[in-house]
Amino acid sequence: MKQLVNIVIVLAAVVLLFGDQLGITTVIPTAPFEVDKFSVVIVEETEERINLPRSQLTAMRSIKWLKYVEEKEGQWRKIDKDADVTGDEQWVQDALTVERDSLPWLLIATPDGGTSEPMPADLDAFLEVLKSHGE
Amino acid sequence: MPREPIIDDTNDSALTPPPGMSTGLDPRDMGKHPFGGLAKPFDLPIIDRSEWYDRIKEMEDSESLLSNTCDYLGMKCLDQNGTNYCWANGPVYCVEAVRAGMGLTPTLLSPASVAAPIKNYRNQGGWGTEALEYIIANGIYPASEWPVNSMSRKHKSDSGDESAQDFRVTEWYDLDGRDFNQLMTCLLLRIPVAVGYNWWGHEVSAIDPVIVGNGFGIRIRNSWGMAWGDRGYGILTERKATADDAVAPRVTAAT
Repeated sequence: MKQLVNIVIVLAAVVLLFGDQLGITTVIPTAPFEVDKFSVVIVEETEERINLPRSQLTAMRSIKWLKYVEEKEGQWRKIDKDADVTGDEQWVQDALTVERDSLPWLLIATPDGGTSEPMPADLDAFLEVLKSHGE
Repeated sequence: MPREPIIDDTNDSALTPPPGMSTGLDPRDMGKHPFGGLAKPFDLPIIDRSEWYDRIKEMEDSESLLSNTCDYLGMKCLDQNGTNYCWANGPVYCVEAVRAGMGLTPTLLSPASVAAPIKNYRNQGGWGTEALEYIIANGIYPASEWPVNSMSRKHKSDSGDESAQDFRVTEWYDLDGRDFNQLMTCLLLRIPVAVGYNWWGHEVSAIDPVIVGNGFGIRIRNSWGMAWGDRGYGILTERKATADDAVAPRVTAAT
């Protein structure tokens, strides 16, 4: 039994340390910021909209996902990375402090978990990510 | 077929202000407000016309037009109600639209809080960049603190000035005059544009790119109340839509 536990610990360490190189996605379902309801933040650079794939810009601007968030009694923002959010609610300010690898960036937070990842490439993919956290 | 009136050279009856309404645009004084003097000159690559049709159809099908968001959040058009402050109503509505796109709670803002101080509380015309200069420096009062059309200086206060800072724009584009391609590029990117038309003597807010017959136009939101056009929306065909003065807010404070 002790040997089995040790094997599991070693395997877990390997996945965490080398998961990306091995093509293994590690899902750490921790909310990127603290909230009491389903919350979605898209961070963008408005000047770079011209360089986004059309399908991605469409996904960001569609009201179809807003309707889903409202259905879940949630809240949302689409914020330029340079926007002054000092007057906005705490969850928005917290969301803007989360580390990002690129733009546009998607943050989803619920009381049970969430994700912090690049904005999906199209509306279908975006809705799929939302529903994976909203259901 | 759009529900809004389509305004072109053969159909301009909708251009006449309804009873009680007015316009108020003066041609932009380029000496006082030279191109690029306040806002960043438009420097984005132009989206080629060959792409416009497909992009607009995609925006319509996906409900990703800026007007979709404005309508979804229940935003009403402004109503200048006989003031000559169209030149402030246009930019102020654009700020409201940008805020709506950010997911901020829709807040009715006061165009008179911008125009009246500029004109020493007189009912006078102006141009969009005049309003922009004031908004950059001072922000916009919420209508709860300054009624949208009041020219009374009694509304100006220290606390109101503080509130107005919550409704500032921090990044704008100044578009070239008479450049329809720049205007369409902004609208395809869901950036609203305050547009002034010397031929009309009026300033409005350009919200969406639209397909009109075999060509293109823009969907505007006027400031003549919800009874004008379709809930304040109308369409200008390309020739009419090419603006003499155009400024586009990109980023606002989030409050």
